[in-house]
Formats: sequence, C-alpha cells, structure tokens
Amino acid sequence: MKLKQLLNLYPQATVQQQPQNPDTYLNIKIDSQWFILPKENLSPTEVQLLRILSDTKEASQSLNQRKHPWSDFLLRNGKLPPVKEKKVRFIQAFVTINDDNREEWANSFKTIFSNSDVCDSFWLTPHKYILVEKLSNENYSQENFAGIAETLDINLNTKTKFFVGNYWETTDQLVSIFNEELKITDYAVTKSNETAVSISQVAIDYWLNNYIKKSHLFSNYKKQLHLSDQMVKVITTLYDECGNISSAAKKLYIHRNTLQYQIEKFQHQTGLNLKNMNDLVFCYFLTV
Amino acid sequence: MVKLDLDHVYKMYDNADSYSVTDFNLHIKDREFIVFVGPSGCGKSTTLRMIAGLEDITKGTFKIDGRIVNDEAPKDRDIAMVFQNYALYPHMTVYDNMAFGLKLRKYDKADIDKRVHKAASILGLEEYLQRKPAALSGGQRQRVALGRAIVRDAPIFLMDEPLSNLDAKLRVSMRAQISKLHQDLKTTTIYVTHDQIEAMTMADRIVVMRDGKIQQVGTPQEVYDQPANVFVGGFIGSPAMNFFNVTLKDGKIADENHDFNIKVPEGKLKVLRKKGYDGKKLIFGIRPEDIHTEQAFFEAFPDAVVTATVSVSELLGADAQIYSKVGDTEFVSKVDARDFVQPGDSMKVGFDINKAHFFDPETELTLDEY
Repeated sequence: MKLKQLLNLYPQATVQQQPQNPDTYLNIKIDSQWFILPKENLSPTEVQLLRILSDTKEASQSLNQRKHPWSDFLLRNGKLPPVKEKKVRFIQAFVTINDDNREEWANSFKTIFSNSDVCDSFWLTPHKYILVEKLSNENYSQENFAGIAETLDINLNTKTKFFVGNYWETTDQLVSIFNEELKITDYAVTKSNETAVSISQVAIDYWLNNYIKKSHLFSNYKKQLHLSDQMVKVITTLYDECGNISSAAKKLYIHRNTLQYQIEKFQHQTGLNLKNMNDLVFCYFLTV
Repeated sequence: MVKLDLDHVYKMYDNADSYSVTDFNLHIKDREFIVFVGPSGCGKSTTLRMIAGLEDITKGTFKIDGRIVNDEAPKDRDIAMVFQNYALYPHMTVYDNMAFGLKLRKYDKADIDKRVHKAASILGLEEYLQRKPAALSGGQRQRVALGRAIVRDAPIFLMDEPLSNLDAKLRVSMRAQISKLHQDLKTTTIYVTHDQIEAMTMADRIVVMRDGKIQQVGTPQEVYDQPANVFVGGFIGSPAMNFFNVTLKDGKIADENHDFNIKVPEGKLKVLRKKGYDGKKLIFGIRPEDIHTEQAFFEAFPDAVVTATVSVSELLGADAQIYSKVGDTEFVSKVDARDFVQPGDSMKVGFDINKAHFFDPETELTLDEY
C-alpha cells in the first residue's frame, strides 16, 4: 500500500514514528512509519479490510514495548530500558483472584507506590504480578508488604503473597537475576505461609534443595544426627537469634542455664558446637 | 449486638502435615475485649486471620450473631482490622491513608470525607490530616493506623499485635488509648499479643494459647490466680512463676537432695492426698511475690523457711528481684527494697504455701481445687 494513496483516501489520517492506542486508532506500518487513522469515522468493514491488509500484530507489540519496556527487556530479549535509576528491585505478587478483579487489584497495588518509584509493572501470568521498583528513600520494607497484602486482601477479596527481591544495579545481568528470582519464588510459594517474604529468606531452602541435599555427606549427616523436634527448635531459634544464648533462651521460654546444658549435651553427642557460628549454620542447614 | 462463636475450629495449611490451630472453641459476648496471648507461633494470629476471613477454616464453624460465615469473603464480614505491619503510605497524606480502604471498597467521596473527619476527631488527628506520615510522631502514626479501622464503622475490631513495633513508653500510653477507644466505640474486640502485660491490663477475658491449642480462658485475675497448667502459670506474670520438682511425703514437699523440706498446709495436703499424690512426685509452683524475707513471716511459718544462695540482685526502686539457688534449682523472689542482699550472700526465705500451686509432673495440669 502506498502511503500517499492512503493519505489521499483518508485526509484525517496522520503519519507518525510510533503507533497510537489501538482501541481508538487503526495503526498500519508502511516502510518504517505508521499510518494512523482514527476509528470513529470508519465502518466495521473498512476497519476489517484495512486490518487484513496491514500488520496490526506489530502495532500492538510495538505499543506494548513502549508501555512495558521492562517486560520487553526481561522476557523478550529487548534492550535495557534507558534508566536514570542506579538500582531496581523486583517485587513479585502471587494473587488468587477472579479475572474481573485483576486490573482493579493491580491499580490499587500501584497507588500504594509513589509514581516516580515504579519503573514498570505487568502480569507475568494471570496470577503473578511483577512490579519493578527503583531504589529511593520511600521504599517499603519487606515487613510492610505483609500489611499491604492484608489491606488489599481484606478490601478486595483476594489472597496475595509477596516476594520482595534485592536491589540490583541496572545492567544486562538483570535478566538472569530476574529469572533466578522467579525460579526461587515458584519453588517457595507453596512452602511458605507468610504473606510477605524476602528472596533471601527463601533462597537458602531453594539452593539447599537443588544442590546441597544431593550431597552424600549432607544426607548421611542428617540420617546420623536424628535431630529431635526439641533440638530442631533449639537450633532454629539460636540461628534466628544470631547465636545469642540469652535471647534464644527467652524465645524458647527456658532458663539460660538450661539452654547451655542442652548445647553442651548436643556437642558431647555429635561433636558439633552450636556456640560456633559455622557449626550452628551447618546444623541449621540440616533442619531445612 | 454482635456475638462471635468459634466451634471446634481447626486450621491446617496445604503444605503442612499437622494442625496449626486445633479444636479452638470460644464464645465471645457483645462488646467484649478478648485478648489472645501466647508465644510466637502459637496460632493466635492464624486464628485471628480465620476470623477476618484472610485464612480458610479447615474444620469447624465460625458464626457472627448465629450466622455461619466460614465461606463469607472478608469484605462482607463487617470487620475492621488493625495489622501489626500497618505500613503507612509515605507519599499519601494522613487523610488519604485513612481513606485508602474505603476507596478500595468504592465508598462515595462524601461518605469517605464524613468518616475520615469523624475518626480524626475521635483520635485527635484533625489538624494533621494534610500532613504526610514522615511529619508525624510514632504515637500519631499509630493513631492513623487505628483510624484506618475506625473509618469502617464496623461492630467488630480485630487487632494483630498493633503495638509490637513501638518503644516501651509509647506502648504504655497507646494501651490506655486503645482501652478508652474500646469503651467509647463499644465494639466487640479481639486483640492478639505475645505480651502478657498487655493481656492482663486490657482484657475482659484472656485466651492463653500454645502450639495451636487453647490452654485456658478466663479473666486476668482467674488466669493469674488459678492457672490451669504449668505453661499458663509460667507465661502469665512477671517475673515468671518459679517451679520446683518435689516429692510429697509425710505432709511435706522436698526436693531430691532435701535442700528444702516444707510443710504443706492442711487444706492443700488433703486435696493432694485425695488425688493420690502422697509419696509421689509433683511440680510445685510459687510466684516471686509469695516468697518472703520478713522476720514476722519466718516466725509465723517456721516450717516454710529455707536458706538460699543469692546469684543476682536487681534493685528496682521500691522492690528488689533476687535470683537465688536452693540446691540445683534457681528461683526469683520479689521483695521489699530494704531486704536487698548482695550476690554470693546466703539468704533466708519463706514460701507462702497457701498461695502456691501444684501440678502433675506428667500432664503438667493443675492439681489445685478452686
């Protein structure tokens, strides 16, 4: 189709470098330009005929790329969007929701953020939403996301679970980082009952499951130690309290001396000293 | 009028092989202030979330005013909730923060405005409505979080550890504000906390939980004076109840090495003998304030006196907390500051056995009769 001929036929049309909203305009790519025609004065037959004769798929793809540059970069080998922000993080939301409510949920979620902090957001699947957020002074902590999930769920009849990623420098490495964060959360989503977790909280279990648990040494250690429920609680509490015996004893509702005694007994039986950070972390891995 | 009934409620998560909440039974009266208290992981927040509709109930029924609401969506339950992580939105004003939930529910603008102003008036926040959260104090931010719930004008309030992120001084003042709010708004309130002092000071009734199960339900005075088991006895009260492993013989309780050997009063002795504990092991519990150092007590109850070695002394002003040891057992006593002693010293103490509690060593259930 020749551009000049079309402009003669449709003087109300324009020629631009980028397509416009496909809901209100018909976009036809000719050479490297876009012939753009308002739909309002076209008959349905005309729209259909012109569509058949043009490549509208490219129009919507191109539009999508402009609306979701990060989605294009992360999922479709697109270019890294021109970014002013030095660091970004990926917030993944797993949402149990009806199709009718999806956009309402997404819009409500986005209003919680300052406009300037959101680089992009999109549905990866019908139940998984990704928000790319730049590092700023007003970012929410991982704990805040629990409150955000609860506010959305109680008012919109949804069930939301957030996985909050780390901040990463904006380089091409982001694609592989994003993909690994996706794998970690897909693994962790059925394992954690928390409404908001950070990737770092669940990554250890994921890596253990994929790598360390395949080690013969590891599986034999686990078999041999026969950790009781009580000892698992002692180890995980000590780990959570960074090895601090006084605060761990408080959390366990036992006297400090009782905990000391349990640690000494465990060392005598296993050779592993829970007061040594390496041994404590090793034992923690055995409980996961 | 709103009453809530939880009948044989259980919760098991999909990825679990045991219940997080087991056989939870509770009937809550209109306008009651109920506190769920227990250690982290005991199931109190899970139970609250089942009441809110944020978690499914695996088994059992939950009724609001006689209507089963297990399958009713959270939005339809007429419940307002204050979350532990209330996350005030920093780019929104106080007004918009308080209005956010109402906007999600598509209330009209005029209605939102009326509700926000009413809540702000109750909370003393009217002059702060156009400020951003960063410009507020910790207490003011907490009140904004409460405001988000008050704007709902719901007859049921659920609060999940709303004060846990505040410093000690602010927690004390906010406790009083929440109690006053409850009286003014006349709502049925369920409050979750791990802090037994919050439970004791705020509740009409306390539900003590452990490992997903109710340990005891009662007024603050009941759970303090009549603990149902060792866990309740040790959890409620600060400093915690002291426990000794003893044997009952010849009308006395003694530890293994006979470092102490104390006569049991007739009334309590009769009950223990009736239950078959003569010659048997028991757990003996006594609160720190029921261990005395006055000469008058020693003279009145010479058979209840032991000599202990002091490990740590903490002077608190009017009182002192003395950490001592009898044989291998450590205990803490709360005494008058005038009786303060130095670590390493020996000290005579008298146990007020009339106020003491006895528990079965296997089941840890109380043997006392009230």
